[in-house]
Amino acid sequence: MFIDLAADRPTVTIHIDGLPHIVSADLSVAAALLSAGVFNLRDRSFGGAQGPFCMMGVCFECLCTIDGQPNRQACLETVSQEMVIVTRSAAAAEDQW
Amino acid sequence: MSASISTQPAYDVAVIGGGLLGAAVAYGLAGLGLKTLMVDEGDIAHRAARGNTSLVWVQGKGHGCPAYTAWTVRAAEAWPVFAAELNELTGVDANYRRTGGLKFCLGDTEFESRHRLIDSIETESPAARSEMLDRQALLDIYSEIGPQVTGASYNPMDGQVNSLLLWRALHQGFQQHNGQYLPRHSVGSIRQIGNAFELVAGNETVWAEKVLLAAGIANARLAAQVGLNGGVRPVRGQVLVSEKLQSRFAVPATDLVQTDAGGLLIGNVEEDAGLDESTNIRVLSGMARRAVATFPSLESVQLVRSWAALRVMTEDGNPLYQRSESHPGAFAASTHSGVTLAPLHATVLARWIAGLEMDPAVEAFRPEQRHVH
Amino acid sequence: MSGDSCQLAVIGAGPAGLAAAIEASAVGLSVVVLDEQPLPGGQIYRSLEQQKNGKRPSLGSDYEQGRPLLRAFRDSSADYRPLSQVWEVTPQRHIHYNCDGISRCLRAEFLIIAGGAQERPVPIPGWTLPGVMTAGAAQILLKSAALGAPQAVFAGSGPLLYLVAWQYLQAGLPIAAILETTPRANYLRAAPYLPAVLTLPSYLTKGFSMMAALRRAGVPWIKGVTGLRAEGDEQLEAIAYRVNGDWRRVESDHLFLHQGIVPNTNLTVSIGCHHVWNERQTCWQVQRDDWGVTSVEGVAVAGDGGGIGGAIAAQLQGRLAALGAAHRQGSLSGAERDQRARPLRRLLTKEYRVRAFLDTLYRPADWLRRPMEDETVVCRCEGVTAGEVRAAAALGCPGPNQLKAFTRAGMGPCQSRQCGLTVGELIAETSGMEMAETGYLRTRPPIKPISLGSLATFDDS
Repeated sequence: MFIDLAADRPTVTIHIDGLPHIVSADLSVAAALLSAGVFNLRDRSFGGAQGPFCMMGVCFECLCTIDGQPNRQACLETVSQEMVIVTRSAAAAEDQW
Repeated sequence: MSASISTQPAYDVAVIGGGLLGAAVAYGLAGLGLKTLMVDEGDIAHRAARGNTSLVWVQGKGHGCPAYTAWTVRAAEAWPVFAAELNELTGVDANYRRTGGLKFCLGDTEFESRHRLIDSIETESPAARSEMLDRQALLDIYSEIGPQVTGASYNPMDGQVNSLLLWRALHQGFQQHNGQYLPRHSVGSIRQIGNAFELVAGNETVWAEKVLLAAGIANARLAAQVGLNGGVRPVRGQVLVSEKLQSRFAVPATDLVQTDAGGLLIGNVEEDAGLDESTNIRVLSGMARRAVATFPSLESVQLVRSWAALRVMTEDGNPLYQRSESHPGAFAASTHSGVTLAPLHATVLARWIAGLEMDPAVEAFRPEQRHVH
Repeated sequence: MSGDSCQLAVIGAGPAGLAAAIEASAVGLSVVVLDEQPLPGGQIYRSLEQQKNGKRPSLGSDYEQGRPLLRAFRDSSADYRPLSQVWEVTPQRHIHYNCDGISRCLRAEFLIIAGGAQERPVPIPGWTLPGVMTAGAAQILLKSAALGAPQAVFAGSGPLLYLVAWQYLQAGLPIAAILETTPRANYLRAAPYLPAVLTLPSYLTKGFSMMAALRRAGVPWIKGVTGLRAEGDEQLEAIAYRVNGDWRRVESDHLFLHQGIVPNTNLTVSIGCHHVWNERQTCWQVQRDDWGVTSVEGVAVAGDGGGIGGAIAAQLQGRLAALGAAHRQGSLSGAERDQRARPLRRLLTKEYRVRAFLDTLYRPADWLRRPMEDETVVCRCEGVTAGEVRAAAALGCPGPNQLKAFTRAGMGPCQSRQCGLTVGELIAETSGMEMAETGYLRTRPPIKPISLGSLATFDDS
């Protein structure tokens, strides 16, 4: 579990797999997922590994659909108000790409 | 120096080349009980075997050469048993599926042109069973095709296989049958001395009673040493590879195949580019445009890599199987279709080289038989 | 789109890229900096520009040292393009990159690649469980997101591991344990290089004071660890470790792994630059001359992306590469270039003195480069295990490219960034070859993913 170490930061509301979350406005999408307790991003059937690993764009394990754009590296994008994020495990369950 | 060899050469056959053709024949030879050596290059080699798109393909083959059409049909029919036997022996399932296959046509001109080709082949070889599907019929297979798609040619015998697993299975099966594999040794010279061939490859010298040149484009360099003609040139194939997707493309096409791992292989343009193995952005971009025109929903799919490989092309596009007159015991084989023809290479061609059978089908592809009509 | 071009393109905005851009702009070259991150600073100075206000925990003095560099960069005339992901560079220096979902082309007369390094993979059983991340990831979360995980375990070896643990301490986060895998034999092997380090005492004092702080705080620090396993069903629950032949367990939701950093080579390999095996650092690196120029004309590499040397060395190399580029463009005479380079080279030599000691002391253990357990995942993207890699190598695969064809290791989206070294090590082990002989994977463009749609609309006229 990751805890917030800096108080009084501006926040935004984002949607992760259909549920709203309030997160700090300056987080990368991957950091926001972790702070919201979402660790498992990928369906096992797509390969071995499951969640954000390197946080710097090297491992490609944080791929999510962000505002309709599939397979974005969540660690390279910053959250924005009302951003819609769909993780691959959710997308796989609904039989989309 | 005396030209006779008093001892038996170490191998019955030396196969030069560990690609799809070499490995298939070597697997067949070893399975027949012949002491077989497969000599292969290093890790960075042209390796047409790494440059195919997994298709077991009948349609469109052998225009103007009914023998090739028949050979291809025979291969397609042999695939299920071949795949099962290889799986049984090695435990490697290359996942061969006879799904039927398509070649998409965009616009009316392409459709008409393809129609003419298919008709022409059908006239020469009714057993080929290809047909044209108009747009309406094609929509039954793929409902999301783009507006420019006018139809496709289709053949129910076409299919796909995991060609990399096939390749691996052939190597494994070969070694299980006591074949010897010598990688990282490029053959420099072949000499016939007495009843044996001496091959010098790097720091190794090996002796075999017979030799098969299955070295892809390198056959051009080696063939003259044993009185055969090179007869091959490289053609560069480029392919785009996508991320893994949920299974959606059950019927493969010449420029769109979804592998059993889930990724799409897109493109398959071929061009003359000498020995230049680099990818070309204009070509790749053109392939991407065609793919998006064929299936507009593919626009957002992510490409994770591309590759270009030098494939083997014979002068007339048909396989070339040669037996040397001046150097009896030396053979050469070249083909563009190492995947499709694998079952026949492992059986008929292996037996031909072993001297067990003079199958007229194989003889049809000797250079002397060409330009018959 | 008509030609977008510049005299010097710099890929990467870490210390090497920033220093190169500043130096080249000062000499009058037109400079474009392409950075895949949203803000400059690379990894070491990540988010430093954002750390202006608010109470944030100390991240150390080395981190703060990046401020003047960032200010000078912003003040320079360099054209900074963030969120630009380069997916191809041709040998003619046409740079194809994505920005805002659109594919673009930039032509450069000279290119300095400053793509930096990545963490070396640490393949242990269970390392793909959610909850296992790299120490670098923990640091990024701390720096950029002010997020930390209490009671985490840090495991591995190397200065970054202790630095992040210390930063965690400063942030008030309790640490469950530090499991150190530095082989005991390395201490002896590194001893001869210690005198050279004493000429740069700040390295040692900084390191010692961090370690002392961790010990004072009572953080359990277990040395000589010779085995690691991450355990759990759907998520990490505990870490098993072996020391003195016995296996013990520590429970935790978070494991941060680290065993050093290695150059990012995918871009330079895809361009066709020649690479060599660095036996002391056990990694591949691009071959370059004194000005950072590779075997491909007009393409230079500066910083950790060309060989691990640290942040100061990266800046110095960036400046040298820029001077080399300026001379090649005709903006500097040979004499001027050499004169400006002289003090930089002196400083660089000083920086390199520490390397032999650090590289030898923190050379990764054999068991962490060549996972012994067959079930350990080697290729994370494709789920290929060490056992499968060994079996394919035993078939006689001449190298990692053939092995990739046989097993799919290296075919996933990360393009062998996480498995390439391990695959090479296992081939070397199985076949008895040296690492230099096994060769490396030939990565191809796109070296970062690109959508089919943006490739379809790509126009480089």
